[in-house]
Amino acid sequence: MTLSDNENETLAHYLEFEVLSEVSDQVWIFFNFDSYFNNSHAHIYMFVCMCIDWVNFVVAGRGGGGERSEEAEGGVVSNDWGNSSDGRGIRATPRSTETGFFSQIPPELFHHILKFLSSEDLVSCSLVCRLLNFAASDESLWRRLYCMRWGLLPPTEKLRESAWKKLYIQNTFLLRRDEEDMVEFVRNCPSEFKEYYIQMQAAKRSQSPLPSQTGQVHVCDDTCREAVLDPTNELLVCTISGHCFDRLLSPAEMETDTEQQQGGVSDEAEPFMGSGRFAQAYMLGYNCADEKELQAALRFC
Amino acid sequence: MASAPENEKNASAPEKKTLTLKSMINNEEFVVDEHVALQSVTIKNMVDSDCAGDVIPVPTISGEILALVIEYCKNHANPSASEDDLKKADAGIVAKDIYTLIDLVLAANFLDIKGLLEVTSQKIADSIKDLPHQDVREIFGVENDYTPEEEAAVRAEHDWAFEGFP
Repeated sequence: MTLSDNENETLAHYLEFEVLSEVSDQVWIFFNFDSYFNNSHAHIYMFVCMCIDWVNFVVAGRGGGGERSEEAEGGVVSNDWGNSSDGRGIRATPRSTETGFFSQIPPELFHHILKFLSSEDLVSCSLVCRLLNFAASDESLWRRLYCMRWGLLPPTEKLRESAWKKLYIQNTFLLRRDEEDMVEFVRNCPSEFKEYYIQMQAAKRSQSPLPSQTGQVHVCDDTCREAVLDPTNELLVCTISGHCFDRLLSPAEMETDTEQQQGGVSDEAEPFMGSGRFAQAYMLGYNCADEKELQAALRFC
Repeated sequence: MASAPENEKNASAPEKKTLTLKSMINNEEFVVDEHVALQSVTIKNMVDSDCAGDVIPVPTISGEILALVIEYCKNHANPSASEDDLKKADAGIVAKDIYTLIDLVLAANFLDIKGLLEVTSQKIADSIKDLPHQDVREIFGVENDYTPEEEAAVRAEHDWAFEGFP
């Protein structure tokens, strides 16, 4: 179908890095959703949310199929405050004597404070003064933010070597271009939903680390982003805790599921009719961590 | 807490050692139980390597800040304190103005008390979260040391990705 072709092109832009073959099949499913739901704005909106979440999810999972040992070694979010010395200094070395108040603060302390901030906060800090720009450009900070937002690691060796801050900004840009294409793609989407959708993405940009993600502790629960797909048995395995997650559904299984749900939705009385329905759809869509939750959420829309 | 009387020390179990921490800024002295003070890795190392005399001098930390640090250590040395109580107590300790917080974070860093370092850093981060850079400058009382050209360059580095987003 033409929709999926278009969309694959869009994705190809976003995922410029690597092979698309394994993703395209899975993403295609969501384009079928569109035709199922094309009578309802809320569903179209949900569909957009799901696409983005799904893309994030897939990218996170793909972060490293096949290169697990390397990731397990050095790619985890925790454990690595030590590498801040290399790769620093994207620009401007500090002239600490001129910044008075800050000059008494040792650089490692800045790191402790700034690790609680989001990418937008770090950018804001960069504009304050030279010293803070230097501190807020610390590679390990951006590396953590990158991993938090896009999963474990960039997919190719080459990208992995580049500066994390640059990489983060680049990805944000690519994603934004991709989002614009997507919004364009769902032409029927009325402007008020576009707004929700944009807000959702902005919220992701300003997401700052939770306390559990800032220290050296890895909390391995349903929101674990450290899981990679083990190609031998298709299980998602956390590279830190070794915890195994449920197997990903194959496209065939998911389609069956969707059809069943489609039936279910029309039969059931809609729980969120009337005011607040779109807000509910927004909340449900946004809060979904993975494709399983999305499916569960769909039952309520 | 500034002066734990000698007899109180004798009244408790004889093994219960105390240490005296002395702020070198205003010469204020604090007598604390050893197990309380040993939460500071710096002090622990001093004690372990027998570098600690009767009085441990603490440079660059004022009595006011040292009192806060000791309060934190006392709370966390209490085995019966629940997690909620500790959280509340920590929140009380870091409910200070930004200058006190900076002094506190420096003290926590110097004395190497990880928990205190975390809560204080988090508090400082919270105070600049979601603020535009002008406000951050104001909070920390720092001057803009960029030339207009440099500022434009730093701006340009970020703007294309983060601003102008519809």
